[in-house]
Amino acid sequence: MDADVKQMLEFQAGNHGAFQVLFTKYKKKIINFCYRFCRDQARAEELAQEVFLNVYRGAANYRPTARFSTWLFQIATHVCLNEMRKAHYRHKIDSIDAAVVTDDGERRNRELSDSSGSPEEMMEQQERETLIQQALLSLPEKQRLALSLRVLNGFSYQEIGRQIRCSENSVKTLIHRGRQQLKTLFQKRDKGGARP
Amino acid sequence: MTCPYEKWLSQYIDGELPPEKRNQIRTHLDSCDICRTEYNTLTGLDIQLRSLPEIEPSEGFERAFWKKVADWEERKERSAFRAFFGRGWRPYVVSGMAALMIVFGLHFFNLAAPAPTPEDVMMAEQMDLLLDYDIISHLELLENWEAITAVGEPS
Repeated sequence: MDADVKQMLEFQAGNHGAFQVLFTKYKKKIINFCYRFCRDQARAEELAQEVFLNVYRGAANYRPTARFSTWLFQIATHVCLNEMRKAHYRHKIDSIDAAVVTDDGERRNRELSDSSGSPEEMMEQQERETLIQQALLSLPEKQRLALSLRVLNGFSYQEIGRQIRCSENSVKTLIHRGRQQLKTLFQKRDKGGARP
Repeated sequence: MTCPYEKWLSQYIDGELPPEKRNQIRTHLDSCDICRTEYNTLTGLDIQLRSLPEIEPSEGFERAFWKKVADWEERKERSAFRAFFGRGWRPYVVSGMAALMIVFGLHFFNLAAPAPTPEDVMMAEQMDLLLDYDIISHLELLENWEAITAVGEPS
């Protein structure tokens, strides 16, 4: 049996320490999964808290029919889809600003992931990250979800089908099309200097 | 230019092809420039996506989460309390109110009735006497009782 499933069943039986283990293990993954959809750290953390709160509240109804992570990301997918369907996120897709909100509430540009190298290299790196992030955001929501779950989180097509509630064949198509669309966006950018 | 094998590349990259098909694609990639270029482009995209830096949970993340859990637990307890008493106390209150209304109704009904006059009081005090009044007013009948009872008897 999946070790995480064991922990979840222990939590279901009343062991709160087991929940803490799962929370510690997955909090960063879930925050980052949510961050790919809203690009705002404070909001991503709120969404991640909602995901874990759903796990906490739904423990009594939990049935170990799949890996724990499949179930957890299924909840995260549901929470993110609800968030993405809120109108105010639509304009963010067109925005080039990749800003984060810091702990003290200050809004500032994202720090570069690699602080080594010349300022020009760092700027290029930041621009590249922004473009990739924006390209991902420009995909239709199900393509984006399927691609994120596959490429960034390593789930199988079968597991993704369960998470986004569609057939394995649909997942195959979504991922294939998502990759093709990203390829086209990057090719356009490389040819014409246009941003995806 | 395209190649009919291109459509399998995405699944090949994800390891989602059956073994036979996977071997077929692997062999094909050695001989097809179009598919090899496409394969390199697609795997390059994956690498770019995976290279996106991850954010770290803020210091207050965990504290904020447990605060939400505590709020939820409190709400749950409060609603359980309300659910129990919400169903339980209503009949008692309704029947209590009805009893009070009846008591007050009777009280006000008595207040509305006219107070007894001195004649009423006197009559109530001498009620026993008055009940015997019929007998007293017909005492003469007793004087002729024998004659009365003799009527109709065979002589």
